[in-house]
Amino acid sequence: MQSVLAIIFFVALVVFPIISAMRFTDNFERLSTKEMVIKYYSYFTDLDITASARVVWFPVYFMARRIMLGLTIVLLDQSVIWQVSGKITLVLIALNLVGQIKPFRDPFRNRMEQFNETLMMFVVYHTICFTPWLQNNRAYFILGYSVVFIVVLHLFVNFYFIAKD
Amino acid sequence: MLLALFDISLPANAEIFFRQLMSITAFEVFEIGDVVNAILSLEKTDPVNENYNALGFESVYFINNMGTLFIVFLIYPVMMLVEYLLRLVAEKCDSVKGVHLTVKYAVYWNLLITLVFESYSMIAICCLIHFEYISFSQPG
Repeated sequence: MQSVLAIIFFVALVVFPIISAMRFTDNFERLSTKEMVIKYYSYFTDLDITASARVVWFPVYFMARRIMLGLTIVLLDQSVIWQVSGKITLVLIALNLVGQIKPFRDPFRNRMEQFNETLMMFVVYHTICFTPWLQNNRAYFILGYSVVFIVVLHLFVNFYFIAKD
Repeated sequence: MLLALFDISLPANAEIFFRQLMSITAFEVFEIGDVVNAILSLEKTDPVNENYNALGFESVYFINNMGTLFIVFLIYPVMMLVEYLLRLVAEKCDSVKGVHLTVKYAVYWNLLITLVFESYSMIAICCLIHFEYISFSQPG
């Protein structure tokens, strides 16, 4: 039963972004109508749906990168170099997408997204130091605090602006 | 946080931090692994490795790793039933129509979309871990 459920959930995860992107691309002109906003505001929270149909693909990338990260982690579990390379590639694509498409209505939100991705990149760089490559125990321990600090900073900044809004 | 699942050895300070953070973000309110194993007559399994264990993926089974999040999906049919009952009431009573529409849009669209967005990484990882050890030999 667990295997069947896992397959059903995984197929749903793959199909959901594809179906939603197809539906929203076809109905892009109608996305600003009241009926569509009431139904789908969770999908387009803060997104600039009046700008360009390319914005529809931003949530698709949001979901696709999570599946790709999962595949990288689980399938390449003996090869940290490919895991790190995969994650860096996903972050770089996200940075480029945000820079090129500017998917959010509020320019500040676009900058915040770039800030988040940049901090993510810092964390990824730390993971390189947590391989057998780093032999210095003291540095290894300090980098542990460093990665905690970056994640806390990331959370703090985001919570601060959420609370401020 | 899922970076902690890379083939790396996390320092103890970072490992403790990520474990605590994961228990919050994965909605891990209580442990359901033992209950699921008992109901489905499954053998308890070891985690994939210590990094997975540190982040709360303590089994290779899909439902066990999903934990409390799976219960949220189990509650979903109940919410659909509530929406159906409200629809029946709304047909008789006009003042309930507004409430019914709000519940309908929440259950079938916005709530579902939010749930999928928030739990996407978690479901993907749980599915993929299960696929590595997939088996159809036991009913559970």
